[in-house]
Amino acid sequence: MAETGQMWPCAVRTTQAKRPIRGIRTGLRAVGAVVALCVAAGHAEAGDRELGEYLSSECVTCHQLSGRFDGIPSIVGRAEPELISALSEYRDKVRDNQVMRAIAAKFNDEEIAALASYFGSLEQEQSERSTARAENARELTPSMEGTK
Amino acid sequence: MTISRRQFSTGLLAASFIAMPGVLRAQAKPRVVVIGGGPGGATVAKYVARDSQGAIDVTMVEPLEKFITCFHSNLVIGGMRSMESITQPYKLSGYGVKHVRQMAATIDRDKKQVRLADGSVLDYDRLVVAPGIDIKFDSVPGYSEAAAEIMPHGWKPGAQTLLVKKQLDALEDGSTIVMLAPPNPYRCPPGPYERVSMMAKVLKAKGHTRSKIIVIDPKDKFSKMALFQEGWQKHYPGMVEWMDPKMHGGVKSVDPSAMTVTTDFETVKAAMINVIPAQMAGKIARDAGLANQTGYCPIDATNMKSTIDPNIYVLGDAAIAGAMPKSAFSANSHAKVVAMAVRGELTGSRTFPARYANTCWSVLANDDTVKVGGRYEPKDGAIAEVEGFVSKTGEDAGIRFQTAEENMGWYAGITADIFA
Repeated sequence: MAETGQMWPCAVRTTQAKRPIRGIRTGLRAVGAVVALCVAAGHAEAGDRELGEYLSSECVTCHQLSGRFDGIPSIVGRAEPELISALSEYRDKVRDNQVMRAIAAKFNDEEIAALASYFGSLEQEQSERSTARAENARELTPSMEGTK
Repeated sequence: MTISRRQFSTGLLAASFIAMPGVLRAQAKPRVVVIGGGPGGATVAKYVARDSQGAIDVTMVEPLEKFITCFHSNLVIGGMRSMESITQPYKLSGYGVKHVRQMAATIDRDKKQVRLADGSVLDYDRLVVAPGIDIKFDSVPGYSEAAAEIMPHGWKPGAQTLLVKKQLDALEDGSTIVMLAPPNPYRCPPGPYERVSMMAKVLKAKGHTRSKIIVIDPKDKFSKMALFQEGWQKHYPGMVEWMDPKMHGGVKSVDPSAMTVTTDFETVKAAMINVIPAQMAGKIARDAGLANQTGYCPIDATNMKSTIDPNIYVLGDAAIAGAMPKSAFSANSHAKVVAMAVRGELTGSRTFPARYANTCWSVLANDDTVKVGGRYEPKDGAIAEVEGFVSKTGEDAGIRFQTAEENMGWYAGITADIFA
């Protein structure tokens, strides 16, 4: 429980091992993942990862599936509560990024849970960053990801 | 009794086996042919092949071995990127995409066949048509494909991009550049104005601040207009003059031999003339009867299927996509809906309501980039904007720097999504 942080007292992290991105589809229907997410409206079922996979296709136009950072933060392999929190805050116009606010504007809780479930299940293929942009990355991330 | 999504989906799968015996029972594998390997076509090919895991035979017809992206080609003109950096090799074979390096010559919709330039024929169960735009050379009197070697359009990436850059780089201080901006609808609505910014940037960097760029526009407003005009005033004061139709009365002709543009009011001689004509859907889509009187292809907003032929999807710049601009981002977004719909039709996989998105970033100067974009959904038979945004005038340098970083990050992201 401790690893989920105080914001998510009722969240239980999945015990399912993270899968590599390639070949993940066979695992997508494995709904044995024990993920109980505590969302704003209360307890919800584990995110629908197949729905999440479809919705994620919109995200990977900018956020690289490899986890690589070239100016836009990686969202691959992040903890589900963190992703749920971020997306909910963009939807509610609390976090400040115009693109993300527009993308998240029409998400419902089920869709946010689905996305978090999908991205949370992926492993980064690689973690290298563009050397030229590594400095920028450190400066950029807090403000882009920050809460207004 | 309630039916879960999964039960419902399973039912649909069973129903689809009954409803589509021709596709699902008569042959081992359904066949998808994709015409065009740009942001729309290549994305569809990749997503259908990858997500169907070999259940669908996917062939992409694209003559190029490597694709030069039109997006960010303005930055090549501005000296901010190299041609190599916007040249993307296809890495789709690992997903099972067969890349046939041919031009698609004709589509036989009755036989459901595509004939290639070498005479060979591809059969399809579903065809995806993503040819991009063709230039309407005759929309500007005096202009032609041959004239484009003197007055480049630079609206298809590659040699034309390099010709624009070469001409720009060779100018003397005090030169006049004339750009003829295109009428709506055209590829990349903010593109002409980003190009103006890149031209001015190059001139300014050489100290050529006596040079001037005159934009003769058939439109009385354009994408991100206030942002561009503010940026030009800030970074390139006195170097850019934008003329709306009231100020020029319309372009009557161009003369490549004299290097002049004649409007209703005057004849302007220039050292460089960038003619960006009107545009239309790529030839193969028009020849196949998939376009209407607008020159572009009508589609079903829920899935990008042609309203003219139920076995064909049209996407990207060639399609009439309602409120969505013609952009690589839009084409890539269409492609994901198409891939889902095609898989749903051919293998009974789950489908979801279509969602579309777009963002267009435009570079004004180093570390000063602006953006416009939105989310879109089918509504009343068209693709409608449900959420939109645009950068604000007067934003501080930090936000503009972040937007510039985002633009470069997007390029890396979308090219990985399309080509790798």
